[in-house]
Amino acid sequence: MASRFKIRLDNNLQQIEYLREQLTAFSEKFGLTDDALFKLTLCLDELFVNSVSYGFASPGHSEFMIYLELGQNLLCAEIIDDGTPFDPFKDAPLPDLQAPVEERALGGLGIHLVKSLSHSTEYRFHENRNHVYLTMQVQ
Amino acid sequence: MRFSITVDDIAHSTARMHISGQLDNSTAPLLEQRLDETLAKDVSYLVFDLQDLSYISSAGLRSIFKTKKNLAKVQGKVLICNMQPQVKKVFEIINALPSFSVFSSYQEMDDYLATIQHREMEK
Repeated sequence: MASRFKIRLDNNLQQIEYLREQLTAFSEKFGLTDDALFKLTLCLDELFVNSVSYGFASPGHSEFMIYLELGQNLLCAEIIDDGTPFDPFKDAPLPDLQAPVEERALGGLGIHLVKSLSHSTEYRFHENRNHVYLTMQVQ
Repeated sequence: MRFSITVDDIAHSTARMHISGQLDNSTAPLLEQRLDETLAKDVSYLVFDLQDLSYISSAGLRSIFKTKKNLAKVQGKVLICNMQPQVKKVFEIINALPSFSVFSSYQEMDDYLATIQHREMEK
């Protein structure tokens, strides 16, 4: 059985709920641990919210595609959107992780979580689309 | 679990906010609204009871950080109790735990609050 899965989201923040349902379905189908599902959901939630909030001038026909593939111990995710070119791993602000939270600027937290929870991250812009690649250890 | 918030006053100037479900970009505004209402009522100690919080994203973290900022202005405090391991891990990754008074049980938190209340009364 090919452990592949595809999720298509509209450029609309209301879709987080649907994203979560789809990831839960993926997890049930392929027997992911609760911990792996939590990490995957958090990473894709952050990337999706980031892209919808900053990557599109206006809501419309844009789309956000997620391709998931589960290997033996590694989960690969590819996230493609047709928003403004934006490399979250280079262009997002670096969060302040030392100051007490009330003194911190609040940007960059989400991307920091994605980097910390992923085994590897990569960004490419080609064919007019943003491509974000994540791998994640799932065992 | 569906997202829900219940608030109760547990001691003088102290409110407990019990959050269930998932705290993300779509539910954080609901939390912020409840926080505004609660902090408007002369609360200086706010307890986040996270026993039934199964998920938190950066949007939820920002709401909790904002609460700390608002309460710091009135010499108040944010207490967090009963975090689930995965939620706690998210706080750990961004090094946020040292900014809060964190308790692993109601008993531990109640003892701490009792000490604070006692100290306040002696002032």
